[in-house]
Amino acid sequence: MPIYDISYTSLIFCFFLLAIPIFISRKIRLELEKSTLAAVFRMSIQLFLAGLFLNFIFNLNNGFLNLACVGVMTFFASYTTIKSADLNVKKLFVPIILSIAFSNLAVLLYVNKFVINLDALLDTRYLIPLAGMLLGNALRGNVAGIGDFYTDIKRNENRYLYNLSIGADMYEAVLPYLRKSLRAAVKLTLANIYSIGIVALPEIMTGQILGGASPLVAIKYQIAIMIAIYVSTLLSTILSILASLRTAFDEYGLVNKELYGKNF
Amino acid sequence: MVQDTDLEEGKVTNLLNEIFFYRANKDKLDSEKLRIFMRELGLEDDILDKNFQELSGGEKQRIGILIALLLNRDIYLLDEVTSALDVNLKKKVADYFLARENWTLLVISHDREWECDWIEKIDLENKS
Repeated sequence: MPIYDISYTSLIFCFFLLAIPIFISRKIRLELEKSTLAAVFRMSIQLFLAGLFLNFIFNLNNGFLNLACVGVMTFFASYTTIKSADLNVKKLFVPIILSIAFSNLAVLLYVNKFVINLDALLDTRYLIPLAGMLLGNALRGNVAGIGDFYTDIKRNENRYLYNLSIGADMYEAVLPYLRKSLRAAVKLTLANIYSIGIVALPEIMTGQILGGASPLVAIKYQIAIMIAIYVSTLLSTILSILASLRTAFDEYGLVNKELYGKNF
Repeated sequence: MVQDTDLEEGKVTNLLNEIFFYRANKDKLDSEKLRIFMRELGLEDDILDKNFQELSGGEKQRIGILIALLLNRDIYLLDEVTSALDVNLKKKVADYFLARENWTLLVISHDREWECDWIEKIDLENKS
């Protein structure tokens, strides 16, 4: 099966499609012309740079460099998680980056070693895109999970204190909140797993099929990826929450008020 | 115990199981006592299968009292624990707590039923 490259001139034909939203926006004054063009412009620049960078590390294919890249991705994923959940970055960064790094790397290396059976565990072509997918999903799960956890404890602090007063230790008292937030964290992933193949063909499959792989190979990768995403999302959320407890609560088991961001 | 006990979501049985699953409370759930206290508090058996969030204020309060009694502590801090109960139950609950002479109670209440000769009264209204 030949792979059709898209030439830069033919990419212009794709940009022509944008005439439709711009026309509609003009006609009924959606006022989206500017943001449409700005968004597409940004995307093009960002992806172009990402392409150059990926090309560079693909050519080098150096295991340590790849790991360093995953490290940088993990750094940003952790930072974004705490920021999006509107929690205190200073207090939570260390426990959260450690949890996210550990759970994603563990699942990633397991998949590379035992599922895909790679000879070189840190091969760029597998490590970087898989890490991106796992981290992206773990990020979404973590924002929902850890955000939900601390919002709930704050909203309903009485119940937490009541649990403490009737004999729970700190871990026992947060257990109901932990359960709820873990359910929230994996809900989307589970729904995705349920509906996959019927509602939508996921990106990795589409990409592989467009890239010339047989659909039968593509589905096997997809199954592996979905399971890996589910496991790493759950694992990183539960570890993040448990690891954050030590900094989040004071010595009396009460929530540290500094934990919450300004908009909380 | 506080008056607006906003406890676990889910069935009352689950709530009880959760509490008696804590390491500090293991093996303290006495089903015989549970039945007795429930009858005393006017709670029907089927309340255990109801959702805690859907109970009325008075029922929630009685579940709170029930848990407190089952835990069988020496010291109780009771903040308006009978506010949503009817007069008879107020009296019954107050009498029950007050009759345990070896318990230490700190009671905050608007209910006259808690007044008795030997309880030390701190009148907050006059001291403001």
